[in-house]
Amino acid sequence: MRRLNIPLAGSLSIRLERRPELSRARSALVTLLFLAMAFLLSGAIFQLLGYGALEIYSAFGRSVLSPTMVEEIFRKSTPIILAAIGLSYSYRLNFWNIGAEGQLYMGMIAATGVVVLNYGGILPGGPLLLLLAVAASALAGGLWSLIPAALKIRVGANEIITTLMLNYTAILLADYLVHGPWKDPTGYGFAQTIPFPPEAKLAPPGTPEWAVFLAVSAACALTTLLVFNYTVFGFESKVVGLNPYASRYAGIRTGSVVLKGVLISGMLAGLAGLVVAGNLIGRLRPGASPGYGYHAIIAALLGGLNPITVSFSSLLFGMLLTSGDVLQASIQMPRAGVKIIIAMIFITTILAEFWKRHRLRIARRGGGGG
Amino acid sequence: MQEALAFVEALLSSAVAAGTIYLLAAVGESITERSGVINLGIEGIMAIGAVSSFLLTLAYGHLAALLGAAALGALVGLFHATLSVSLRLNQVVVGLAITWLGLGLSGFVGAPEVARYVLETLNPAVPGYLAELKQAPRLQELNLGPLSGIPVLGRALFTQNALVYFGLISAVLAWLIIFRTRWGLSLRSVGENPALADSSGINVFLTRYLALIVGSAFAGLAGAYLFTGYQPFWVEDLTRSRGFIALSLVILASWSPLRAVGASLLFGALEALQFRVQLRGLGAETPQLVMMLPYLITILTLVVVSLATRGRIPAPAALGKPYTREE
Amino acid sequence: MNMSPDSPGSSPVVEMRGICKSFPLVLANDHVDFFIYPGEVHALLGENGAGKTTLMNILYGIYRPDSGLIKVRGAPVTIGSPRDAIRLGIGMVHQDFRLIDGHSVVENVFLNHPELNFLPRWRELEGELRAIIEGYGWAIDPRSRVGQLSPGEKQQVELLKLLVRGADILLLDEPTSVLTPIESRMLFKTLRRMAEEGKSVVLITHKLNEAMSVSDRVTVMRKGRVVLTKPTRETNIEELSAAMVGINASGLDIPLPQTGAKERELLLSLRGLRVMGDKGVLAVKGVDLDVYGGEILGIAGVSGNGQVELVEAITGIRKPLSGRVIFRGVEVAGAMPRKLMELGITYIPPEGKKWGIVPELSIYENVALRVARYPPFTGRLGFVRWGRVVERARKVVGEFRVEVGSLRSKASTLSGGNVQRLILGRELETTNPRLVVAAYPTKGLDIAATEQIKRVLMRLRERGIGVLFVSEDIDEVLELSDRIAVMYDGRVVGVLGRGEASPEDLGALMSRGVAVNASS
Repeated sequence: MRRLNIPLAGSLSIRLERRPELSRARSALVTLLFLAMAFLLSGAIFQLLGYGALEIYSAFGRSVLSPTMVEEIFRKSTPIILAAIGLSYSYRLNFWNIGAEGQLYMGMIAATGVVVLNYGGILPGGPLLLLLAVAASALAGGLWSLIPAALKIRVGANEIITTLMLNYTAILLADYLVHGPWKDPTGYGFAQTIPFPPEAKLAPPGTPEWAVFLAVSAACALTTLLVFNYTVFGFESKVVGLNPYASRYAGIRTGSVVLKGVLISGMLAGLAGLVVAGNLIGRLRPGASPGYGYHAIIAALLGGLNPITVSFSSLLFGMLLTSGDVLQASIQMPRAGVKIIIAMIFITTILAEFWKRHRLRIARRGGGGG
Repeated sequence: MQEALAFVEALLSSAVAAGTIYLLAAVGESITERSGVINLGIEGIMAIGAVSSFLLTLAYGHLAALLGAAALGALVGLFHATLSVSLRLNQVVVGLAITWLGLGLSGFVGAPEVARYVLETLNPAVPGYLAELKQAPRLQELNLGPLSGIPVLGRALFTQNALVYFGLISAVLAWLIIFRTRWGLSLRSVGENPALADSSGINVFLTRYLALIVGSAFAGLAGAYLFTGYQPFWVEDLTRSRGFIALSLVILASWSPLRAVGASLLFGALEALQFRVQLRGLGAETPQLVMMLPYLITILTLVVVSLATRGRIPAPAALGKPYTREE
Repeated sequence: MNMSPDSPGSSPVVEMRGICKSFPLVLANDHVDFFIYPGEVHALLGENGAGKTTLMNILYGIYRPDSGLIKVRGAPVTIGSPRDAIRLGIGMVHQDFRLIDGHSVVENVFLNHPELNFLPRWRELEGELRAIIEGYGWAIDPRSRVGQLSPGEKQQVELLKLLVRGADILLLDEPTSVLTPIESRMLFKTLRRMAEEGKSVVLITHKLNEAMSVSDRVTVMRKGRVVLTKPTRETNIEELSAAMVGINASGLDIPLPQTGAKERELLLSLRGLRVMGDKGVLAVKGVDLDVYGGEILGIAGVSGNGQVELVEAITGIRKPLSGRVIFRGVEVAGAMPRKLMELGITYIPPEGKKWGIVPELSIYENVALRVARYPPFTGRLGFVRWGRVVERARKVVGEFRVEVGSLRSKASTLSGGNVQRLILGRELETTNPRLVVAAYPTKGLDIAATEQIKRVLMRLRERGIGVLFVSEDIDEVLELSDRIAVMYDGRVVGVLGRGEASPEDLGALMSRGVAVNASS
């Protein structure tokens, strides 16, 4: 067993030993325990800062259980689910894609572009419109993600920074378009685009939105599960992410595998953008995304890159976001509070993973060198 | 000609003022990364520094604000170190988590009701509503007498507030310490080859802990400067990714605090320029395209650096890798 | 001031008596007595695994002996760490340089030196170094970056590190393995100077002619014991070679040659192959070799003479500098491993645990590692037929007796021997090779695993597959090979058929290769 020694005072030291693999049940239990800890800690912070933790959590509980809220939760979760599943392709490759937000915005921009062009008579309407919107948003998101991927492969540019910078670029681009060339001429001067016609929305009139969302999310999750576990591409990307040297020995074309994976991430994020602009809001306007892309990152990391668990953690975030709105409305708690809870969940999850693999022992310092 | 000179003078002055935000963060991060640790939590720490300086200024004045922000930063750095150095968790993940926490906390604490509550708790003597106004007194520029009379440079260099000078002095001191002292040699060795440093008798863990703590303290200070010295109006996204830009800046500056001065001046100039271009009517209605510049230029500089060094960026060789002593 | 052991009144500066040290699988030092006198260059000779490095590591404080006594300058000591050793004046220069390329010479030398000031006076320190450098006739500039120095110069920096800390007992571990002949000569001059100054130098080496040319005394170790200790001028190369290889120690039992010589197809031809090594030195210096189907060709030689680089060049891991590699009529020099695998060459890498498998993946996934994209493991639309993979994995695990709990468990749980078996099995069962290239296939394995691997290799021969394998163990090479090629200093210095190879010939070829004049 690998042991790590953390020297304490005197001759004591804390030993970290590798734990033998935990059973599925125990593993889940640990996750839940740490999750509970996250809520506890956030509660403590809120209490310190003048908010009743009990108040908050009961409001949270109430909001989660009402039926109208459930639908809202589902709506808010869908873009996160899509983007997070997309991100799991990148993270499987060990490509630190922080750019889901920007790719989402590019998806929104592209979808809006299709709508604007249709309004201007350049693009046809009807059912084709939806198809074009889907294609455009996926393509835009994909291309936006390819840029940092190509830069990393060709020049070795750190993808954390490049994807992040492109986020701001995309958000500003959307801002510009909304204030400028795409501003709704009949919109009373507000900075927003024309509304999406119903046929451009992912849920055509007549079908319940939640059903379409559920279908799309499920399809995504299941397809990804299939790809990860049963395709050559899924296998090869796993190897590339784990051990790039071994992947060379195995004859895998690392560069093209990475490009494909990151492309898919971008495309899914772009698609999420279509959902946001089309269905959630109905048009493009500043601040359209309250950070769905960033929530997706955490959801993807939390979900351990398994599309099913990723979907569930995305749902959790949808829940948190929705309740954030409710809490803001009812007890005037600032929305940023939700960020705190999410960050706490993130931190405790990291610690939970660590806990699952190691255990602490206090021991006397062993004798001398080996 | 007069006008042009005045423009340059004003631009330079703003560039220095804006650049200090990046400089303070970058100096700290250079120290941290020289020890082999990458601190992606800078953004969050800056945010914490900003919001705490906001409230502490109202409560106790500027000195308390600066010290408090630095202290909070150091505390977060300690937390980071525990997770990434002792527990050897992935530095990127830990840093991102800290950034989220920092951004969340600062947004929360900065919100009117909470800010008010915190202010009243900190110092009941100060009226709480001040916090809701989202403003605090600005850090005054120092009066350096006749020096500020020098044309062009005078205004730029000699009419700044104390933190600007602190930033410049820190950069020089940091450079001296890193490259000319025994400590610095040990620090750099830990970042290049921790196994070798360890067998030479250097305490790798202590070095990395200290480097993280100091670097985070600087990040907190950068946030404090951002608010008190640059933009004393509280908004939720005050930092606007400047912390991440500072990370890129460190790469551009080849991990040298002195080069960071130049690089931060460049980015400060970009910020100043974009504001001025707006005023001048160019893209006045749609300033966003100009606002994109810092981010695009960051990417560009990153690519240029990678190309120039042919992919072999002169980073400390052990950057980002947790160290385990082989038993 | 010559204080050689012959001069009256000199006593040893280091005494090691009865040193025993064992590791989990091997007895590295077996009641070893070793003495170092002041003012001498002492060569410590032996093959890999003889125990010489272990012994010096004990002296340097890296290991603690299980039993035995160490005295330095007459006083018994316990050396618990290299820091203790340095305090006693003992310093070691390892084969891999422990330097920071990005820092300057002076920074590397004085790193964490106990007397280094907070604000060091770099100029003064540089001056100090220059004095030493000139004293030995070296040519390095203390201000230059270590990364830009040649291996010989880097070695000088390592020596400087020890000298400024007052070391006068210097242990050098295979120092010439990375040096050119000129640099080696330079080193030997330096060592003699040091000896004249009264310092003691221990030269760990496996190269006989070096030991003969530079040392005052020589000790030969074999299989953990000291076999011989003599003043150099009282012995000769033949005696040392015999001692190293141990022909008197045990009678080698050569099993009867296997039958099954089928029609032999020329599989692989190497012509004039030259390959660069890792440290910028030419490792393979022009090799011509033919390998046939249905035979086992063993490459014998002390490790470090270019065998691994040769094998890596053949299997596509390393690009050759020049020369030709022809496999069944196809020119393949410089081709990627994937292509070679498709053509029918498969490689069993040394240290399989590191390079041959992905520890985090399961056993069956590792079986599929190189071939997941080819039928029959791939169906339509790029789906992997895991059923087939698991089937094949089961076959591999069964036939090659890989000890696993379940095929799903991670490969990291396998022991070294089982990893090797898995890799071997995988390569043979999934890639359908015509030529199997293996480097140190039984290194670090227990007896059972070793025997099994040997049997597998022999079975391959019967199936008409060609086997090229590299080993340091002469017994193993003699046991398995139909033909033996000996490598020394990057060249094939002899190819002997099974009946022609006597252990003496082999030993001589391995330890000194083509006869080199002692003064070069």
